[in-house]
Amino acid sequence: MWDTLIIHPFTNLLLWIYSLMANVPGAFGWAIILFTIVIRAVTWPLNAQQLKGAQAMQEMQNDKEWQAIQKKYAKDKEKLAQEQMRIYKEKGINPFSSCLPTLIQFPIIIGLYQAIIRALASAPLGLLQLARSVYPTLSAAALIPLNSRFLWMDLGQPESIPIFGFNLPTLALIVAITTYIQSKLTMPASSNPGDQSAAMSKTMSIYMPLLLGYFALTFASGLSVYFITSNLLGILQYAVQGKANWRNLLPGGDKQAKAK
Amino acid sequence: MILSSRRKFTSMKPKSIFFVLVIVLAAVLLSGCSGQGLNNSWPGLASDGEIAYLASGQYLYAIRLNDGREIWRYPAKSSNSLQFIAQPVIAPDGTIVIGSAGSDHRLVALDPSSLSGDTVKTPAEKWIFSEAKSSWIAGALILDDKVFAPNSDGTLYVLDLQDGLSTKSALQKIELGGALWAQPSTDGNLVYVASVDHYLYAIDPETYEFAWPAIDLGGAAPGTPLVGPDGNLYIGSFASEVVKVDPATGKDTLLTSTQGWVWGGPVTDGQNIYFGDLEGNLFAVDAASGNQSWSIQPDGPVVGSPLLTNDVIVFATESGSVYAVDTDGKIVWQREVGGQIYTPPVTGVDRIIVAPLQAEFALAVLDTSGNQVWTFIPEK
Repeated sequence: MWDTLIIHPFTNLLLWIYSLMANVPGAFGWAIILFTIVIRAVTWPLNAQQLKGAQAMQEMQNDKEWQAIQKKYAKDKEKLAQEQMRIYKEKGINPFSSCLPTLIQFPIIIGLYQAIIRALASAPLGLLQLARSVYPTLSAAALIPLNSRFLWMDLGQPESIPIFGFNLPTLALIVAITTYIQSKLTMPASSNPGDQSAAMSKTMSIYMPLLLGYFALTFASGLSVYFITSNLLGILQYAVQGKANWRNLLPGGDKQAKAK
Repeated sequence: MILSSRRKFTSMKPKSIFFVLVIVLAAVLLSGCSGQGLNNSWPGLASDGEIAYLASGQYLYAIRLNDGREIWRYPAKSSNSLQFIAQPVIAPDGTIVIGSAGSDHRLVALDPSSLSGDTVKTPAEKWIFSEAKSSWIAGALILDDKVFAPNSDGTLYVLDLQDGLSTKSALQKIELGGALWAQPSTDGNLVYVASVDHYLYAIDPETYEFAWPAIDLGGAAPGTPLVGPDGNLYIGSFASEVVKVDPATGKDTLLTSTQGWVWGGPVTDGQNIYFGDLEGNLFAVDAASGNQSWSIQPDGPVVGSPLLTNDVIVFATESGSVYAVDTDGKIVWQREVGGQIYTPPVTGVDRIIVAPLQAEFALAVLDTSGNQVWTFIPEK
């Protein structure tokens, strides 16, 4: 089921893009980048919905009525929850709309990682699995083996650059930095000290870069190319929609935003 | 202040737990698939008639064929950096040469003559070669005093067997390109190497020069080229065909087309050549004319090379069966061993040895009628 719905389509999409640019140096790396653009385009409405949902939640946190309710029912959590649901309903807010794109990202990440490993097939069993995954419309015999080199990387292996005897994990750092920037840019300004979603966003802006950085450090560098491309596209999307909160990148920027 | 923090924590908890669970799940799933396909493959297998050598996981095992008893294993203690999947190669002096597909890319020669007594021991390392950059998936070729060792880094390493050094350096590094997953073959004059990069190379073992320009086979060639009865080479590929190559000129001609990709190298009885494909066929093709003598459809894809023994062709399928077919294509016997069998079967004295993957045992030994004599389960 997982193979049929995720791994096979992902692998074939990667191979198809690769086949279009097989003579281009680093074709598999470009295939991953184009694949990410396709995935981003497909999930654009979801991401836009996430932004809209986050903004609506933020507006609610700054809403005077909600702040008054929070104070009024501070000791009655059940009543507070009922009031919260009422306001959600009145304002047409879906509290899960901001989580959905994040949820969708994980199967994509896992599927892409498995598709990269399968497409690169660094051992006989992997190549046999790849043979079974390729749709008949692709001339797999001519494509295989894929060239795993992209720039200075082997996309099937974790990346690092030896500098003065130390292996610097360049991609892992770039992944962590771009993830941090993206999460900071989308972090809403909140004037409500009891704003749970702002606190959550702040926590996530610290943990997500660390987590994705760890993934990039540990797993095939093809996955890092996906992370970086996805982050840059995310930043671009927020900027194009005018939602990017650039002040958050400055030290104390979030406090300035709150004060305004 | 404390109350506020506590309240915040309490009300955030379900959402936090949700995120933490998603992250942990992703980490576990990614970690779970990280090892898959990197150096994952089927076991390597060889036999000197009395002892079977099984390269499986973190060990190379030596197993006595008459009773299935483990004689020795290498290394003495398992190491995560060592993984053995290549075919072990037995030198004329009894030395066993095996490479690791783990992160430790060593090619090691073991000296079983250093062992004594009946307890399970580990043979001494006669020499180690550590200059390769990638996995050893194929067995080496020993020709006279030289070892021709193909590596996944695309280089054919040539080592001197007789220099007496315990730490080897390559006499020559012949960069071919693509991953080398097939054991080289030789007719005594040239060394032939097939590569996953679609090419067949012919190398002079003295000068290390190419005898002729590499031949594009149209698809990956993970099988060993066969030196046929007529002196020509026969090699199959993922282009779903088998070609014949004149070793004098390097000129290739199509021998026959197949339904599926050809993985294992062909074998010959002097008239026909025999090989399987991934669509689940075993073919017998007349080497001279290219006419198909017969074909049969066993119960699954045929990945490994067939074995010719006692006038029958023995081969294994991915479905876990072993077949014996006579030279007219009639099935003599069939045995369901279990697991998936990709490793080519090998022979001992009146024994056929197969190494299934994902079976309850690592090795099964059949008699010449296909009856299972014993199985081998490695002790932990």
